[in-house]
Amino acid sequence: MTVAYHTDVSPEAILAGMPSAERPCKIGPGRIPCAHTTPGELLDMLRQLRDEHGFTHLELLTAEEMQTASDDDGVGAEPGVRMVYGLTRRSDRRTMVIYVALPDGALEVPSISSLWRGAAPLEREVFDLFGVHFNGHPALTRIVLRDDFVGHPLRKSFEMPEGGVSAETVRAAAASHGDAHLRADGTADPASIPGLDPALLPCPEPGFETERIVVHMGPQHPSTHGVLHLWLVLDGETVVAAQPTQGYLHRCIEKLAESRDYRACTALLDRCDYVSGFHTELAHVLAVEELCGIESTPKADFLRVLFSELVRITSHHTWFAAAGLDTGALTPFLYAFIDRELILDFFEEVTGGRMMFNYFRPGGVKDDLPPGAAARMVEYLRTFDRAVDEYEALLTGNEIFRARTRGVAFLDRVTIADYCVTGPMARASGVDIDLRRDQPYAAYDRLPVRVALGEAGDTFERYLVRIAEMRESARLALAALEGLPEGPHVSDGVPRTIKPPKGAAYRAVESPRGELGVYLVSDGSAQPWRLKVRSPAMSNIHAAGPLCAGLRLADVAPVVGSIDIVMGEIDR
Amino acid sequence: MNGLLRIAVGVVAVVVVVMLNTVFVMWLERKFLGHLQSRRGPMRTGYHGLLQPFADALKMLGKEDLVPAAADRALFLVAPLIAFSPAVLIHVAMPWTEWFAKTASEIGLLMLFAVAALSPVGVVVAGWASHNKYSLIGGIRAAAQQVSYEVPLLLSVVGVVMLARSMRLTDVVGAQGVAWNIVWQPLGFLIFFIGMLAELNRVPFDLPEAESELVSGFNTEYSSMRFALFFLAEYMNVFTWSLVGALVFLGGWMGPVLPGVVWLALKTYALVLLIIWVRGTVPRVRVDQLLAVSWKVLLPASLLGAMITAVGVVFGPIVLVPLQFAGVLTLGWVIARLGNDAGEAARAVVRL
Repeated sequence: MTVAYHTDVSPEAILAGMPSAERPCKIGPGRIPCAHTTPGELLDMLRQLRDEHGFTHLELLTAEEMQTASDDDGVGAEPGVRMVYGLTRRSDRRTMVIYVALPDGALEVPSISSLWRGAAPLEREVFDLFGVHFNGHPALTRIVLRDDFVGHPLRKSFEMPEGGVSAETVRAAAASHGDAHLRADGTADPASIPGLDPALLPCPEPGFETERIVVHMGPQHPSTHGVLHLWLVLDGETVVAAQPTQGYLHRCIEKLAESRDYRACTALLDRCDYVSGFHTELAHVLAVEELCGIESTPKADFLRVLFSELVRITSHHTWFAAAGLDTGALTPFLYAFIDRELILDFFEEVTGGRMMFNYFRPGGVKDDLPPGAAARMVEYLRTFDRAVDEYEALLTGNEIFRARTRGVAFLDRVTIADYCVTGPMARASGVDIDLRRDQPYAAYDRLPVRVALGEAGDTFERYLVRIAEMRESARLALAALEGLPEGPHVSDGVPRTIKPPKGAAYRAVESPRGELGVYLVSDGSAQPWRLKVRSPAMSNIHAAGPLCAGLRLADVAPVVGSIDIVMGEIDR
Repeated sequence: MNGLLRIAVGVVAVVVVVMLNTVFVMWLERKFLGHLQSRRGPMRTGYHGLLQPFADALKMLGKEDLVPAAADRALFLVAPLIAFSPAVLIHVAMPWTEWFAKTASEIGLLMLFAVAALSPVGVVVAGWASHNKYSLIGGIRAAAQQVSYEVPLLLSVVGVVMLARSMRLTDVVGAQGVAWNIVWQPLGFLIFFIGMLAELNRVPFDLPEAESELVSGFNTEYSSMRFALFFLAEYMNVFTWSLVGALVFLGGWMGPVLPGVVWLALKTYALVLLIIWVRGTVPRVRVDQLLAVSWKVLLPASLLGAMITAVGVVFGPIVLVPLQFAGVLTLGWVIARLGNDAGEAARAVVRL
C-alpha cells in the first residue's frame, strides 16, 4: 500500500477525470468535493483513489437515509439508503466524499474491507443500523445491537415494537446470545467468534497434548477500560489471537439526535466521549455553524481552544492513571486523579458541569469566564509541568515499566493506514498528523501549535507522546488564556431555533484519541436528518487484534490501555 | 501434664500474637499505602481506622460462601486451609527472644524454608479447583514463580549459615554480635528481599493475582471466610518473612537499651514498611521477565554470594565485605540493564 502520495491534482480534477465518478458536486457550505458511483464500480474507484491519488485515509464510512425530495446536490428521489465514503489525502489534507445510492430492495454494496481492514467494523455498524449488506465482508454481524434485534433503527421507516422490548424478550435474547458461543460441554466455542481465523484454534503440535484456551476478557474485567470485550485465544500465556467486540455501551446517541434540535444535540454528544466532552461538542458546533453560516466570536474561539486543551489534559490524566494500573502500579492512578479534580473544578466553575458541560453553542460559548477564573487557571497551568514531572518520576524511568512497555506492540505505518488509526497512537509511530495544525479550527490558527511526534511506535513511545502532549496542552491553554481577546463570548443574531438549509457538513477536531468528526445532514428542519460521529477510538481499538497477537497475556491490558479507549465514544 | 499445659499455653500465645500482628500489618498496609498516595487510608473504624481489619473480618463472615457449580468441590473447600496452615505452622520454628525460642531446633532455618515451600500448594490447588481460566492461570503462575524463587531464596542464607556455623536460629542471631549480617551479607540480603517479595506474591511479583490481567487470579472464585483465609495467610506471610529477615539479617533481638522483643518488632516492621513502600512505587513484572530474573540473575548471584562468603570465612571480613558490596553493585547494574535493553529499536526523543 502506498502511504503518502504527493500530487498537485485537486480532488475536483481527479473526480472529473474519473469515468466511474458520476455527478461530481460539492456538499454543504464547506464545499467538500463529492461524486456518486455505483456499487459495481465502487471498489475499483476507491482502490484507484487510494493507490494512484494518495487518498489513503478512510476518514468516514457511514450511510444516511435518502432524502426523497430531490435537492441541490442531485440526490435521487428513490427511497433507500446512500453510503458515504469520506477519503482524505494526507499530503494536503484534502477530503472527498463518494456517495453510493442504494434503493430499497437492492441494499447491497461490495465490502471495502479488502482495501482497509478498519472498514470491516464500520460496515458492520452500517449493516446493523441501516440493513445494508456488504458482499465479501469477512463477518457481517450486528455490532452494537443484539444479534436477535429486529429491524434497523436508523432507517426512517423503523418503528419500535409496541410497548418497547419486554423483559422476557431481553432475557430470552440474553440466553440465546450467550449460548451461541458455547459448546455442549459449556466451554467457549472459538469457531463462533466473528472475524477470528478458525485455523488458529487446533492444537499446533501433534503428539503433544496441549489445548489452546479461549478467554473472554471483559466486558466485566478490572482493566478493560469500561465495557470492552476481547476474545483472547491463549497458548499458555501467549496470546495467539485477539478480537475486540463492542456494543455494550450503545446508547443510540445518533438515533436520539434525530429527534432533538441542534442545540440539544450538544448535550447528547457530551455523553458520547464522556472523558473529553468538549471535543464532541466542538465538532458538532463547528458543523452546525458551517451549515448555517454562523460565525463565532474571537473570544469564543479562544475559549474553545482553552477548554479543548484543558479537557485533553484531564483525558490524558485518565489514560495515565490507567497506564499505571494496567502494569500493576497503584500510585500513578491517585496522583493523576487528584490533579484531574483540580481541572474539573475549573470546568464546574465555568460551565456548571464536571464532565457533562453543554457549554459550546453555535455562535460561541454559553458563558463568559467568571471573575478571577482566568487568573486561577493561569496560576494552575504555570505549575503544571511540575505535576507531570512527578508522574514521570513514577513511571518513565522505572526499570520495570520500561521492561513492560519498550519494544512491546509495535504499530507500523501500514497497519495505521489499514485500520484508519489517528491521534497520539499514529503520532507515536511517526505519522505526523494533527488536525489542530493541519486543519486549524477555533483559534488554533492564531496559536503556536506544536505536535508531539514519536518514532518507535511501541507502547512506551505512545506513553511518551501522551506525556509530551499533556505538557503541550498546558502550554497551549496558557497561551489561549493570555491571548484571550476582549469582546462578546457569543455572536449576535443566532436564531432561537436553528434550521440550517438543506445540505451536509463534516467537521473534525483533534480529540485526545484522534480525529473525531461529526457528519451532519440537514433536511431543512430543526432536527438533524442524520448525525454521525466518526469515533477515533473505534478505529483505533480494532487495531488491537494485530497489536496483541504474539504478546503475553500480561501485555494485553497495557497495550489496550495505550490505545486509550473510551467505550462511550466507541459504542455511542 | 505440666508439659502439655505449657505446650497448649505456648501455642495459644503464639497464635494470638501472630494473628494480632497480622491484623496490624493489614491496617498498616492500608494506612501507609494511603499516605504514600496522598490520601488517609481507613479513618472511620476506631482511632485512625485501627479496627478496620476487624470490621472487614466481620463483613467477610457475613458473606455467602459460594462454591461454583463446576468447581472441584472437595479441593475447592480445602485449598484455603492448605494455604493457611503453613503460614501458622512456620511460627513453631521462630524464636522471639533468647529465652522464648519455642523449639530451639538444630535445623530451624531449614525448617522455615521447608514449611514455607508448602504454601504454593494451596494456591495451585485453589487455581485448579475453581474451574476458572483466570484462576487456573493464576495457580500455574504461582507454581512457576514460587518454585523458581525458592532456590535463590534458600541459597541467599547459605552465607549466613556459614558465618554462624549453625542452622539454629538462636545461633544465627547470636553470631551477629559484632555487626548485623546485612553488613557481612549485603548481597545475600538483597537476594533474600527480592526472593521474599516473590515468595509472598507481593508487588512487583504479584502475578498469581494480577488484577489487570487475571481479575483476581487464583482467588477469583472465592468469597466469604475462604477468601479471608487466603487474605490472612498472605498478610501473615508478610509478617513472618519480615520476622525472618529481621532475625537472619538485621540482628534479631540485638540492640541497646530497649528490650529484645521491642528491637525485634522494630526491625520486623521496618521490613514490613519497606515491602509496602515497594508496592506503592513500582509496577508488576511480566511472567517471562519474572522467571528470567530468577534463573538468569538471582540464582547465579546467590551462588556467587555463597562463594564470596566461603572465601571470606577463610580470609576474614576485610575480603568479605568489599566483595559482597561489589556483588550488590553488579546485581543492581544487571537488573537495571534488564529494563533498558528490552526494546532494541532506535528511539528518538519525542520531538516537539
